[in-house]
Amino acid sequence: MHVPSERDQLRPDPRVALAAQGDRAATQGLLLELLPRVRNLVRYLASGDADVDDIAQLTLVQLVRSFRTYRGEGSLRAWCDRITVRVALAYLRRRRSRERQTCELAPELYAVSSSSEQPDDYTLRRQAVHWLDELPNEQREAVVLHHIAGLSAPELAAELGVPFETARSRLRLGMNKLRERAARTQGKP
Amino acid sequence: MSDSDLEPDPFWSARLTLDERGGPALRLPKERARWMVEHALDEAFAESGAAGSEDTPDTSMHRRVRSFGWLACAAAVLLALAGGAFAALRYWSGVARKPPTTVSPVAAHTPATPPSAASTTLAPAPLPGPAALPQSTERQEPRQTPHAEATSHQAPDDLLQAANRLRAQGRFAAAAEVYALVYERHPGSIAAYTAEVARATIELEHRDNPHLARTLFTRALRHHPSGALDIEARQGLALSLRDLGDNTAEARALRELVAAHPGSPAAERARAQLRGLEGRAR
Repeated sequence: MHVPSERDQLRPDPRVALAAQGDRAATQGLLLELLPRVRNLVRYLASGDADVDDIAQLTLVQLVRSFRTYRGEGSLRAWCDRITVRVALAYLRRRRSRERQTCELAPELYAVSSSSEQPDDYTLRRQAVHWLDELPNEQREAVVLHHIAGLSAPELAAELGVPFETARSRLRLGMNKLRERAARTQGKP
Repeated sequence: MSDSDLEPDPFWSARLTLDERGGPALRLPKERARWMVEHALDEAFAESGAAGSEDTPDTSMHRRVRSFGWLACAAAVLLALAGGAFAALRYWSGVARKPPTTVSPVAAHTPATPPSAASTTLAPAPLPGPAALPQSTERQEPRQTPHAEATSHQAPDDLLQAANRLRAQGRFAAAAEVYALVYERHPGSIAAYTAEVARATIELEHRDNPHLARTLFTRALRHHPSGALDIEARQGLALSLRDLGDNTAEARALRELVAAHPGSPAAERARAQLRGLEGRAR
């Protein structure tokens, strides 16, 4: 469900080379374009909305630092996703280690769509992240990294720092719980 | 993952999709997106331009907002010492713990806060409102180095203001440098104490340097054990020790915080953390 844009697949964005040379305007343009994607991926990974912009901000800084090392191999968005995953997981693990509470979202919010987005997509995804919020962190990370960030099985195991079978088990358990949750809510198997 | 049980069906494809458009993150107004990007650029470019700068990428805006409360306290202390009775009264009545625009004339003029999403979206707006948005004219001003700011303002409270400005811009390495200058140039002063606690907070929360944070918090507490910022210093010390993995010392710091301020909200949190530490020790 990793969705690269057509342009991303066809040719490298010339702004990346400029960003690597420290061109502020080019970097700004890229960041503004990537920010919504960064925030969406962060929200899939983070429980609740409270940390999303904090993590997105950290990711933006990391992206600026990393442009000079981007070689144009593979999709810019996939590269951005990998950085987002690393920054988000590091942040979330540090935060959990401090045992800070997450901010709960008011229940009525996810039924409300914004004016500029597809209401159906938005509502469905909000519903999905509320279900994801109920998963144990390990299972959530496995589901998001594989099904949303598009990591392969070996990449998933490496990213989580666990054996392949453990990653696979977390993924299976996570998806089973999501299915059960969806069935309870919507009568969907 | 060839197991079909692991592959989502169309039901999940509609819900677990990543792109730039349809969520699941709450919508971000354009002005707020621009603010985030500008601050990321400021921080990254400031680091690349500052020799030896080693900031780690922790610009947590929640932490930043919380930390501005500290700076508000610090500014209130300075104002009180200067005869600012009104600010002192508000500080001691607890208002100083609100966002700095309500208390601190220093922080009120810094471009510290992003535009709020609350007015235009469903976001629960964890960040303060648009009143403190950086003005376009401020963006066009050439940036000064920390030392340029510091040398143009010799008085300790001016130095503190310069450091606060740098901090508000997300230039944490530079801000820490100027806070250190305050301590070096005016040792023993209340400004040095304030700068010490503020610098320690930066080291802990934005530079991932709990070792130095612990040293600075400890020094601040040693020189001012009952100072106006001792709750913050004690909390910061405990957090530093937690990050360092020293549970014994963390528990000791938390007990000292509870003993010093038994009725404070900070003490309640400290007791809860102590219970957690003791539970894990069993």
